Amino acid sequence: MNSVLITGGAGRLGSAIGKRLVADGWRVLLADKDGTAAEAAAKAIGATAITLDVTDLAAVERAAAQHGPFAGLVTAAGGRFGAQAGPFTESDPATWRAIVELQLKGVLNSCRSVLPGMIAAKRGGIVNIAAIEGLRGHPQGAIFSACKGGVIVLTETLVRECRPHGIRVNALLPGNPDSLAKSQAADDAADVAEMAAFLLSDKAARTTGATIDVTAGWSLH
Amino acid sequence: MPTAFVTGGGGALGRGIGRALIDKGWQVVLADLKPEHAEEVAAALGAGATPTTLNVNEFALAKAAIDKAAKDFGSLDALVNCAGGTMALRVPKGTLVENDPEHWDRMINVNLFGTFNCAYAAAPHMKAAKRGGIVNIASGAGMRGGPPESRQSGAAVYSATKAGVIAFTQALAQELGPHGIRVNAVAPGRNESRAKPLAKMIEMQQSEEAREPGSGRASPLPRPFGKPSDIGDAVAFLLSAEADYITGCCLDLTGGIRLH
Ligand SMILES: NC(=O)c1ccc[n+]([C@@H]2O[C@H](COP(=O)([O-])OP(=O)(O)OC[C@H]3O[C@@H](n4cnc5c(N)ncnc54)[C@H](O)[C@@H]3O)[C@@H](O)[C@H]2O)c1
Repeated sequence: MNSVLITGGAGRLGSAIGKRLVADGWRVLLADKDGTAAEAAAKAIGATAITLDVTDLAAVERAAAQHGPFAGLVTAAGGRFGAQAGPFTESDPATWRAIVELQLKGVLNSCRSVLPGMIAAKRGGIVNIAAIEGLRGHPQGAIFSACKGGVIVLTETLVRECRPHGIRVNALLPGNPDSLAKSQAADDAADVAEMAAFLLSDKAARTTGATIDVTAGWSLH
Repeated sequence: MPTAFVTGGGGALGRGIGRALIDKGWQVVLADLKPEHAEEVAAALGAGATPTTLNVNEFALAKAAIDKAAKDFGSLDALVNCAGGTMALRVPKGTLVENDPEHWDRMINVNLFGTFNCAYAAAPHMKAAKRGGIVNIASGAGMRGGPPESRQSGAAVYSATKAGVIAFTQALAQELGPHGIRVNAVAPGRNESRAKPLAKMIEMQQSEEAREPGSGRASPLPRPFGKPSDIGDAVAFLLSAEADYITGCCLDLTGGIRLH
C-alpha cells in the first residue's frame, strides 16, 4: 500500500485531502503541529497521525525516516497564515520571518525530507498547496504572496530536478475560505481533494509542473 | 537631481544600472556589502555616484543607510533592489536534495528579506513626497522555475526567492499606487559581467550543452547573452516619466531564453 504524508493534516484542506486519499486506497499519515487535532482527524477517516512542525527541518527529516518512504506528499501546512496581514508598509518587520518560515521554508523542508525516498524508489508524486496570491500578489499579504509565488516556481524547478527519477510535482491554487460561506467551504475542500487525488494517481501520469486553479473562478476577480 | 539608492551597487548589474541612471541625470547611491566593490564602481562611474557600505539583510542598517541618503541628497526618489546573486552568496550548484539547507537562508535573506527591508525603509520617504519608483531585480529563473542544475547554483531555492520577489512586487504596487509610487521588477537572464566576459559565457554554454543537451540555453537573438547595460537601460526606463503608467510588471530581460 502506498503511503502519503500530508502536512497540515488537521487543517481544512489537509484533512479533506486525507479523507479522499484513504478512499483511493492510500495509507495516509496526517502530520500537524496540533497533534491532538491530527489524531481526531485521522480517527475520523481511518488514517494515522503524528505531531510535526514543518518549520523544523530536523523534525521533518526524522518523521520521513521513521514513517517513510512515501510515494506521495501533500504540503497543506500553513493555511492562509499571513494572507490577511494588512498593508506591508504598516506591518512590523518582526512579523515577516514567521510567515516565510512556515509558508516557504515549510515546503522546502517537506520536499527536501521526502524526496530522497522517492528518488530511491524511482517514483513519487508531490502536490504543493499554493495560492492565487502567488501568481498575482495581494496587497493585504505581500509576504504571503512572495512565499506562495516561491512555492509555485519551486514546483516547476523540482519537475526539472526530479523528472529523471519518475517523480511528478504539481501545485494547486485553492479557493479563499474567507470569501466563501461555511457550506461552500466544505465543498471547496472536497473539490481541492478531488484534484489532489487525481494528481497523485496514475491517471495524471503526464501531468507535472502544472499549477491548477481550483478557486471556482474566484481568482478572476 | 533625483536620487536613486541601488543595493548591490558594487556588482556587475549594479554598475550597469548606475551607468544608465547617471546618464539620465540621476544621483546614484551605490550600496554594497563589500565597500571595495562599491568604491570601485563609484570611481568608474565618476560624477553622480556615491558609494556606501550596507548589508541589506539587516533591517536597522538598511533603514539607517536609506534615511541617510534621503537626508544627504534632499530626497529619495528611487530604490533598486539589486543585491544578491548566487555567486556573491557562495552557493554551490546542486538540486534541492543535494544543496546544504544552510545555504537556503543566504538566498532567502538577501533576495527576500533584503528586498523587504529596503522597500519598507524607502516607502515613507516616497509616501511623503507622493511619488517614487521601486525596481526589484528578479530573474528569469523566478518566472518559470530554475534552469537545470548543471547551470544554476542552488536553483530550487534561488528561483523560489526570485518568484517571491515578483509576487511581492505585484502586492506592493497595489499598496503604494495610491501614493503615486510605482513598483516594478525586471528579470535578467544570462548576462556578461566582469567575472564572466562574452568568451567565458560562450565557453560555459558549450560545456553545459555537451554535458546535458538542451541545458545550455542562449537567446534566439544574434547576441546570445545580455549585458549589464541591457538591465540598466530597462531599470532607467521603468524609473522614468515615460513609464509613468507602468506598475506591478515584471519585464522579461532574458532575450527570449525563457521561450525555449
Ligand atoms: N548576472 C546575471 O546573469 C543575473 C541574472 C538574473 C538575475 N540576476 C540578479 O541580479 C542581481 C545582481 O547580480 P550581479 O550579476 O550584478 O551579481 P554580482 O555578484 O556582480 O553583484 C552582486 C553584488 O551584491 C552584493 N551583495 C551581496 N549580498 C549583499 C548584502 N547582503 N547586502 C548588500 N550587498 C550585497 C555583492 O557584494 C555584489 O557586489 C542579483 O539579485 C542577481 O540575483 C543576475
